[in-house]
Amino acid sequence: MAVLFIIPALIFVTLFMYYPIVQTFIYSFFSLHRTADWLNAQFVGLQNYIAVMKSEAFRGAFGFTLYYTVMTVAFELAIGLGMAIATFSVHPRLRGILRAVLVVPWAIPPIVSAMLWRWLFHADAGIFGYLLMATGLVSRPPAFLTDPTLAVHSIIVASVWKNASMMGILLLAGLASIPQDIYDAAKVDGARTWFRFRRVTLPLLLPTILVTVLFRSLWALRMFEESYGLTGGGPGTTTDTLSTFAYKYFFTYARFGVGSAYAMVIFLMVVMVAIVYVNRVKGNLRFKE
Amino acid sequence: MKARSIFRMILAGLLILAVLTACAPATPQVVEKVVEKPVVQTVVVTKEVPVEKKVVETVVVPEKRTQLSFAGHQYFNMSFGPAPAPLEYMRQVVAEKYPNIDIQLIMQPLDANKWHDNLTTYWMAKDPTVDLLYVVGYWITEFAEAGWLMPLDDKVDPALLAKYDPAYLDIFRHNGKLVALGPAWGGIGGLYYRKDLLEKYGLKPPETYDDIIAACDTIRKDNPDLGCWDWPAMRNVVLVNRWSEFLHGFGGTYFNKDGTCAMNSPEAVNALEFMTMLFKKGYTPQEALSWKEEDANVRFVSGQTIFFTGRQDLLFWIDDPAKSKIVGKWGFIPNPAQPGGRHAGFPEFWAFAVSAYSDNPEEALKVLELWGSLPTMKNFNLAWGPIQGHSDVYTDPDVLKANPNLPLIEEIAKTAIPPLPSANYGEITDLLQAQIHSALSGQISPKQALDDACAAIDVIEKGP
Repeated sequence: MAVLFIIPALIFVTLFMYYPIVQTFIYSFFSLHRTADWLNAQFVGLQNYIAVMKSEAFRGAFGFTLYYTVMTVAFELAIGLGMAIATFSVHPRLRGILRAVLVVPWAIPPIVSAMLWRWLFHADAGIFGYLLMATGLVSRPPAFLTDPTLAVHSIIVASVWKNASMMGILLLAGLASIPQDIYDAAKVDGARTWFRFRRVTLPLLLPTILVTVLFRSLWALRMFEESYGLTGGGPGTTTDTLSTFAYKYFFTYARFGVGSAYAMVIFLMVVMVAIVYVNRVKGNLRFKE
Repeated sequence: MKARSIFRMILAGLLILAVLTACAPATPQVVEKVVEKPVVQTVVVTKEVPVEKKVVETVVVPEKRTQLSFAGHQYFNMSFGPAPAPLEYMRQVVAEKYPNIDIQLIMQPLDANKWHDNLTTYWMAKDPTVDLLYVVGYWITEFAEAGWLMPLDDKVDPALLAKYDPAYLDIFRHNGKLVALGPAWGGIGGLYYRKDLLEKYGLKPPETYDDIIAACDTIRKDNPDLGCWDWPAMRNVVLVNRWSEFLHGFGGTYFNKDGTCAMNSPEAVNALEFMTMLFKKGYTPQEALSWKEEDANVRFVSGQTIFFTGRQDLLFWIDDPAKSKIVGKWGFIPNPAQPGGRHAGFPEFWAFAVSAYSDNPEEALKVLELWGSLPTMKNFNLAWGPIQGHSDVYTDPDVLKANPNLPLIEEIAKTAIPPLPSANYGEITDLLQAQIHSALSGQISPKQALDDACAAIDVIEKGP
């Protein structure tokens, strides 16, 4: 009976998840330009993968995406945890309002959020440049989106603003699942606030933290809109992301073979990250027998 | 307990309602019959009426309707002049002449890169979603080479084609075959300058790039906060358009006669070195590297800068005091050129085409002819401004009245340069965007950027 219930989901997942992956894998061994007819295309073996590995631009995009992922996830976790604890500590009535406020940045579509930040970073009209000038820290607005170092970190700031709240919401749910009597027992034992946070909250929240970090890392590795909307990948190729490559080869260049090889390499990276996290999470989850 | 009773009462009520509904007399069905040809039938119906008279009723059988999808952008729903928004007018003329054809707009992104990618995605899947499309001249080689556009020469009325300027039609030809009709609207790059400031300092409008630098140095001595020269340099396709003007202005070209890349020639390197210098020395602000066209437009019309390179469409509202602070204080001339180079304006001319995968090619061609005729082209002019390919537009009194700057535009139009002629236009320009932007932002030298670009372009064009 259980198998019958699983079949519809299995068909759905096979059709819409595994079939495209298999098809992309097949495409990656063929020379396909402006056509996806691989049966009549030239088989090129690993040539497309070699082109991917040789691409300097791809290595640059890989470096940026990795740096972006580490930085955004770390900051979002720290800020999200702070938000969750602050929200959890207030009166339950106020908690509902705070939860709604928290979800707003996350609910804004990524490309709209990128446009909003483009204006905030704008040299003539942007508030950040104005504030820095008004406080006398700089004599002219910094080139937030055109200086390579500033551009990378501007994207990270915009991304942290948008996604920290999502982290906060998920961690808030984790906090709510920690039984109050454990805190009460800790208090009776004389544990102070910091000790209770370190020895009760954090260990019991760890499974939620790991799952949240896993999901956010996977999203971050596939980041596209923030970079596209804020800098268009510039200055130069500084903020090109891994996803940009697969997109361009598929849709702008119409080279399905090389595009598929890029997509497969990105897919394997994401899978590896997922495996590491899942193994870590498994050890911290206590399943009921 | 109480809740359960209420639930039971609601359930019983719903059951009674269901039984009553089932017992009710059947609702008469309305069936719409679709026939192939539009005909008006007269049917004589005999009815028994109280006065016992025979009544004759005329029944119009509904005709088959064709829906044509048109890929255009949001501006088709907007007008910037005295005429209605183009799409409204285009639908109106179709409804008048072909009442059985409906036009549906398939909205495309304003970003030309995204628009290009949308269209190619449809075509690579041989998808008939798009029947008619608005297409820019620099996509023609790529789209026509792939066989995605329907050839028009022997399908469009020769009398209508004769009304079009042959030079404009050539933009939409590939290997001698016409694949789009237009332009319905066109943009071309030129140099805007602050006439009042140049006159104040006794300077002539610049002829060469060096003249611009000299003028800026003179004027900014007294006005250090004034910008020198703004132009959009964000990493997108417009950057390549602007760069093409510099390239030709310094005497460069895209390809050698043998088809190899010439974009790293000494002239081309000089052009990119000059562009890089503009940023290094502050003639163009570094922020311009993240500017789209509208960012640079706004700075010029708000009086923040002396020179601005952009399309002629700014002329349509540059003297509107509600939008501009430089009413009557500007001039518009062809882009400068160094000795040995040519004054060059990059044309962004847009025309109508029919998709090779359209399910309704005959209807699409009829509509294309209608949209290419004088009334629609005149409406484009009055709604969006010049440039139109239909020559009769420029003798129309309404057009002449609405376009006092027409002679200026004609001068700029003479400087039109061809777009990069490649069947891999999307790929090559994307590569150029990255390389040029890397040089402008000081990450690699101009020579290195162009050498790398040419090495990759030769591989793309001729294979490894």
